[in-house]
Amino acid sequence: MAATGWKNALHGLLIFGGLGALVAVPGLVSAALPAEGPPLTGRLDIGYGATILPPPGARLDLADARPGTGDVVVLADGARITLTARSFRGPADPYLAHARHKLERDDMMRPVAAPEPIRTESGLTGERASVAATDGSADRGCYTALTAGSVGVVVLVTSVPDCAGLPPAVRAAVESIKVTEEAAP
Amino acid sequence: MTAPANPPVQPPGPPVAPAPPAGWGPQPGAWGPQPPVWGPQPPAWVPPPPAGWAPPPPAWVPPPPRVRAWSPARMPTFWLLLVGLLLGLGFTALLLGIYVWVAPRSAAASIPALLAYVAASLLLLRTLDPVARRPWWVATLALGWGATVAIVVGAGAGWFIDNALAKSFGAFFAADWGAAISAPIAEELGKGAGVALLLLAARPYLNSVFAGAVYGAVIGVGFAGLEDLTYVLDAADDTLPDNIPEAFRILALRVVVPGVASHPLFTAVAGAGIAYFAVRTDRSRGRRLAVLGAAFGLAGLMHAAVNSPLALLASDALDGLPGFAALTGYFLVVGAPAAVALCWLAMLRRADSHRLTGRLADPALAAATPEEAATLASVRRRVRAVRQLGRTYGGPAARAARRLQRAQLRLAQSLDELPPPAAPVSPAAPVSPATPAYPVVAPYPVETPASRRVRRAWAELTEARTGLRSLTGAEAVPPAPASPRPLPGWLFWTVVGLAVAGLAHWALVLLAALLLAVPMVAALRRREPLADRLLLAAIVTGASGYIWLASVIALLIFPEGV
Repeated sequence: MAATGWKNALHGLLIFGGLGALVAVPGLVSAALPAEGPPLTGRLDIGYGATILPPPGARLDLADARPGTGDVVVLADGARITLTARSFRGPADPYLAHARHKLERDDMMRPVAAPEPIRTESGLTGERASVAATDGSADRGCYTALTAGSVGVVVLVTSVPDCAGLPPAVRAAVESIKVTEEAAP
Repeated sequence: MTAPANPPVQPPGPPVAPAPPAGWGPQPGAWGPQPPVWGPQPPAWVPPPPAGWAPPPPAWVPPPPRVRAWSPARMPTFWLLLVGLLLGLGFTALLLGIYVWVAPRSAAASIPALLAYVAASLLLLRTLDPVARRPWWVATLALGWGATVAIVVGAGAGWFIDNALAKSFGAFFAADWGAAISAPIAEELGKGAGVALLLLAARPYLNSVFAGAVYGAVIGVGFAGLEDLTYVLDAADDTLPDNIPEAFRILALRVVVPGVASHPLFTAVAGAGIAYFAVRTDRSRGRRLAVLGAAFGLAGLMHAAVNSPLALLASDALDGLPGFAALTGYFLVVGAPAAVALCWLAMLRRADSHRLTGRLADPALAAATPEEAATLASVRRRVRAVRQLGRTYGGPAARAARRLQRAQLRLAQSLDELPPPAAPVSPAAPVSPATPAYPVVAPYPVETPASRRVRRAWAELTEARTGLRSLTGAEAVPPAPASPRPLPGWLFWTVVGLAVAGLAHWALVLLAALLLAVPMVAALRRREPLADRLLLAAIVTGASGYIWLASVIALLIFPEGV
């Protein structure tokens, strides 16, 4: 450590190199590992008391899915289902409006028509709309936002043409979302 | 024109070899076959010069010894560090810019609050630091590293490690344990690298193990400040647009709940380990490596405890029992390794104080009497000595004594930071608390800011001594009186027992506090500092009370549960 001159530079460069390796090595290891988990069975905990019954044969996207934390990504029937559960305060309308705003701002997807109100069998209410990419790409999908009490769940299904074109298993999965009010994950 | 007169013929002078200046030695064999002769030599016979002969001008004048003041600008790592900081600043500014763009009102409200928290943390560190004034530029580099490069490295490496864990052990495992495994590795190494780079870039200012802990803590403060800001602004935009109340709820939670078990403590421990490895060259390499590993292990363990589901599980388990506070289990899991770390840092702080002040009593320096040096090593002894003097000679004498102590501490610090002039981070002589790294009394051959600080400190010291002598007739502050009356054993153990049992019911903590209040008020009324046992009992009671306070605050801001 008590180096001077070129040794000082070498030690400094070694430390910076070590920091680079600290980022690069796990990145390379992660890239080399398969990104899809094993097939899911049973109800899947999304977080904040929300659960979903995944489509048969669905798998988790291991890079982005952390069941129980509120962020889950499921891959099924060629579709990518992104589920985000959160606990919010106050009425549902501002939450739904902000969820729509974030869809456009962060995911760069915009509803192609006015969202339709929906109600699931388990009593969740919300809205649904077909969406298209705002960045000029051909990405399309179906956006659903549901609330129950102070818990909200946003579902974005991509790689499907629109909500009408949702594979039946995926549609059934979205309809299967339930919320049991409980504390934060 | 007349022909010029022939000038007198000058005989060739005797061959003169350039004499090396004092302290310089010729290279063996450089001046002919004869080995150089050291020491005084008999004068050689020289024939008297003829009339009119003038000695020729010296053909070669030896240059003065090359002495350069130490400067960080000559440390390549200093420039590497600056480049790294600029790059990190770019990334951080981009990240913050996005957050501020999505939640501008929350940012405007929370950034001043966070800056105040950072300033308060730095002030607390300064209070706890026996060397009160660290160089601002080193502290700024440390703070900047924590808030920029360490954040970028920690986030990037942490994300990849978490992904690798999810892909290796499953998403459910990563959801539970990912943060407890990835964050300690990525963030502690990212922050610790800052301490290592500071050791290379500003070595004269990091010449004790505790200095590494201090700069590590400063890095941790910068890291925690920026990490908290990202969490706060993320929460502000999570469910509602620009949600200021949510931002403040998260801010309060992140400040109150971890308490001292936070990034500054983690990096202080890691920084102390790095400094031990670099500074304690009097120890074997194996031992230094072991201490380095243990320090990083402890820092990682503390970080893992905060992030692990075990802390929340313990919290849930104890919360179910009657009497316990909501966060008792959490604080027990998080606090156990933190208590070990705090004890180690307290020991390092004491050792550093003795190392610094002990040097003042060096007979060659004679900047303090041995009694004064012993008093200076402890803040409480310093206060006791000043108060004693004040009682005897009055307020002006007490102020003069305090001025003298400050001057002595400043001199100790300036001497400690005085780098060797010619070799900036010289092949370090073995450093131990007992043997200073650099000569403390040798005349400093070149004017530098560091040497100017030493001279100023000497001048202040001389002036302060004169002032004290004029008021008390003595030049030295008399040693601190014996410890104030100790807390009776039965009372100490009763208070500690009640404070520990108070984890199970708040009333017991309150009772402990009331019992403790009696001797504390008595000591304050007598204007005496607190006895060691009284202080220890107060710390235990305070820790137990903090768990209740934090639990109440957490439940107030998150009634639905944390």
